[in-house]
Amino acid sequence: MSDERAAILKGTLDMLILKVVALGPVHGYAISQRIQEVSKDYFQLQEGSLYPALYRLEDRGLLGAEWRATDTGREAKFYKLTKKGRKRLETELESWERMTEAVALILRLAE
Amino acid sequence: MKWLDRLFRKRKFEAQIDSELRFHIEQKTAELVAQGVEPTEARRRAMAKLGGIEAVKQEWRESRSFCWLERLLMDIRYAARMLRKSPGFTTVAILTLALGIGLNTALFSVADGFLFKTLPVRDPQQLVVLDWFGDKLPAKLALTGESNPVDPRTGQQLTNVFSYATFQGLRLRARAFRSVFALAPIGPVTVGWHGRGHVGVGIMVSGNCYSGLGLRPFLGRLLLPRDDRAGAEPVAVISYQFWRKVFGGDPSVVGRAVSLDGVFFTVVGVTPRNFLGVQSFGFLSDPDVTIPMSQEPSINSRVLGGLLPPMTDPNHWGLQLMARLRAGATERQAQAEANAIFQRSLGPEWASVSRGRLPEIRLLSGATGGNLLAGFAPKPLTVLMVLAGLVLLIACANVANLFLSRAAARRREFTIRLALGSGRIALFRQLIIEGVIIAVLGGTAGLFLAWWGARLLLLLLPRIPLLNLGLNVAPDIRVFSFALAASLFSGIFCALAPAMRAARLEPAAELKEASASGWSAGGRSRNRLGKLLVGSQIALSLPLLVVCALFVRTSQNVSSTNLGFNPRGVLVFRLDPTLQGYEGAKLARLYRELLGRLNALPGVVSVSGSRNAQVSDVMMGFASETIRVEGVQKSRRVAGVEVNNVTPGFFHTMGIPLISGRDFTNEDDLTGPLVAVVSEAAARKYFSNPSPVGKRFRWGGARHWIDVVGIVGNAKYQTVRAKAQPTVYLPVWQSRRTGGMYFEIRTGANVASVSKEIYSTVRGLDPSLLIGNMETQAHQINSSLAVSGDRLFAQLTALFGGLGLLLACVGLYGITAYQVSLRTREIGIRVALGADRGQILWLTLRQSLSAALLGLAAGLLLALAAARVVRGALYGVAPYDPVNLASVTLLLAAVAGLAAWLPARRATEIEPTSALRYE
Repeated sequence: MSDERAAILKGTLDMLILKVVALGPVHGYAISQRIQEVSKDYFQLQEGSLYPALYRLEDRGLLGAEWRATDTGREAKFYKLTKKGRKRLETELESWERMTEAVALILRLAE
Repeated sequence: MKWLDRLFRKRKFEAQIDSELRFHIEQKTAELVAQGVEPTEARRRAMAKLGGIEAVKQEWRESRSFCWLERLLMDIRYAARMLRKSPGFTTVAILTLALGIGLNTALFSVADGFLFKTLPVRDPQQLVVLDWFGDKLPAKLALTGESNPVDPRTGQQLTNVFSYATFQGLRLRARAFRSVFALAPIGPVTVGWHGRGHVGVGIMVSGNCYSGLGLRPFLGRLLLPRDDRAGAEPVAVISYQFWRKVFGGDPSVVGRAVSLDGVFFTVVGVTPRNFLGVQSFGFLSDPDVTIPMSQEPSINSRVLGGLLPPMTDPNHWGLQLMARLRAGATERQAQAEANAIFQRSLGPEWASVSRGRLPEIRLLSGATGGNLLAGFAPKPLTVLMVLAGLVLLIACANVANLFLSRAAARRREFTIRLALGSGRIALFRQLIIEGVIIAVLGGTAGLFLAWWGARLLLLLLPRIPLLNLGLNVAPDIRVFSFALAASLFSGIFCALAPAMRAARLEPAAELKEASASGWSAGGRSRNRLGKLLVGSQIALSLPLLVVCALFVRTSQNVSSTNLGFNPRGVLVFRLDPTLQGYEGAKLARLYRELLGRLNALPGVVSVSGSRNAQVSDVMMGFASETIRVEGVQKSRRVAGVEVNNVTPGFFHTMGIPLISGRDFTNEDDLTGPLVAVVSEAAARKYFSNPSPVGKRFRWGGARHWIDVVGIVGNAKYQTVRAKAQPTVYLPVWQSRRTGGMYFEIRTGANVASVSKEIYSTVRGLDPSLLIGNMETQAHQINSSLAVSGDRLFAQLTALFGGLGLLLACVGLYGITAYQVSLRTREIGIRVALGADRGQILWLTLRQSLSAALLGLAAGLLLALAAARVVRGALYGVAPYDPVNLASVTLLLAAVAGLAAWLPARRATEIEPTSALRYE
């Protein structure tokens, strides 16, 4: 992944994780799959940085976690969004939209 | 609080992460296998994508920002491990700090026990001690203390002796005080118990004294106001120490009768263990026996020989006063009120004095019991503390040097760590922690040292009663926190410079160096700091040694000062036959008989008796207010004269020279004319004639004239440093009321055998007689306050001086040795190129010596300042005495030179080949 994309991802990883988890409880591997799939491979997550981000969000109380059995019978750690996390996601989305709007406005300025 | 959780269940969390990541890898592998990748290759790719389990774990660990505690613990463990790896350094550093801190803490706890510990009474801050200052002292001063200081600026006299009239006035009319109580010492009394006599210190107090102080008894009860009435049962309270010593801690003594110089008192209680009395008349009074003031008439006649007018005589000045402020009253109000009452209670003596020149009362804080050692030790203790602080600084400089050398030796380690990515802050923190660990360990060891040191200190003062038993110098919370603060401070101080140095290393530049040599830029500045440390050690040691030398000289001078008599070969003991019922003529006969028999003993050169002993801690005084010399118009006031009643032969026994006239004879008794012998000083002062033999004088108010029959040399009584007071000697046989006496025996023979003979002689006369306090005169002088205090001081400062010197020299040796080791390669090269041994020696010495010289110079200035500060405590030696300064400087220079020369000499023996191989 090129440097620019990596930089963007780093800044928004938290937000992306929160969004993915908002769709339902999910374990870490599934999160990384999701992000890759849905972004149509634009973002290729450095998986090593996913888990530290997950732990950080969990520490801050934005994500909750529990160990559950998967369909294969193996135990895995499933993350879900807490109320605090949901609120945070909303604020992040808002500010993201405002930012993109502003950028779009500037970019559309006629020369 | 998840982080707290994580701290304590780290392993569990790490296991969870492990399993989570493994799951991830398994899933990924399965996916890749499903895509057709070969299983092992799939697994490898999955792991590579993840980035490695450990790496993730590490990143997770590092990303946690609020786990400083865990980081700290890690640092501490690591530091401890590093310290364990270099045991030599660690031990030396800890020991050095332990010495420095231990010394300081020991001193602090002793000082605390004396100066800062308040009385173990209720609300000590409400207590005040009264004294007053005025243009003159009252004529009938019943007791003079050690000295009555004169304010140099105003010329006014300061004293804490009050009259009974003042006491009554304050007690009845001062509303700012909740209670006012009085104390009056009696002096030594012989306490008879189970047929044995023990000499103790007695004191009289007003009935409200103990309740005013707010003291609770240890056993039984304390004196009450009802005991202080005329006609009340004679009761007494004894001190805890006396109770243990004399009565063996037997609780049944409460309620039993003991005799005080023949008068019977019932013991009603024991004061608490940590109550050591209140200062009285400038003397350390550790009252063994306390009786109510109402018992004064019987005491007066027995103990004081009826020489004093009754205490209740309005003009009798013989009380010390203390008071407890009423809640809400300020000291200012109390002082004003007390002053008014005081001035109104002054007797006719001050009737003619104008309003503005009347004496004024002062209130001093009584929380520490009248500043127990005010006359003795606050300044010296402060001086000692400063000296101990100096030793601590020197110790710290030493340890700092140790740290510096160690840090320099570890430079490679540090640079590699920095290069591998360790943060500078982390390095810095870790070094500081090493310093703190050493310091805390050193401080703890020092605390133990302090415990023993404080007791040792007390042991060095044998006779001073206060310090013998009961003085609690066990480390308390204040002492402990002082020690802790000192050790933390030292640790950080010592580790700071090397830590900062380490944090500033540039890895690239450092690693280019082939080896740590003394050439690099870093090396040069490191040398500078090292030299600075050594120089300051020497600079601090010099004032230490100078002060120490001054005090040693002072102590020697005090010990050898001319006392006016010859204490060598003199045995002294005390006898009080009044306990056995002797009195009047029967007593005189006993004494004469005893003297005769003692004189006849083999080996005895001369025998005599006296009412007061020389250079003892007992006060003397006389109640007459004036002396009238025949032929001189005005009466002279005699405050400050000393009077001693002696038997014939006293001057010969004591070695006091008879200058003119004659000694007393056995014929100078009640049948003949009254005679006296006066000292030179008295002759000059009262007779304005160096040889007034044949002149007559009489005491004011007395009818009979006294003939001066002899003049003797001056002899010192209570003090060694001050000049001898004018003294008047009266014959014992002519005194109307005699009590117990001291006996002096001059002997050339073995002391032990003579004392045995003395015992048997006395027993032979009357087996029931009690002999007290037999010791040699020299021993008595040496253990008196006057001498032992100086001696202790000299010993302590010598200890400090020696310690400081030792530390400074170790430091100098260390740094020179270190220099040599640094420059081994360089030296090897020089030798290979043809330098001779001398040049090498000079090369290595040069740096250390320059530091030492600068240190000496700075130290000299400090020493001059220090000498000036302690000027007042010296005796017989000038503070800037050049011989002193020069010899001490030379000593320090010599020792320092030796310390530097030894390793330098080793440098000259370096073989070039081995040096060049040395890395």
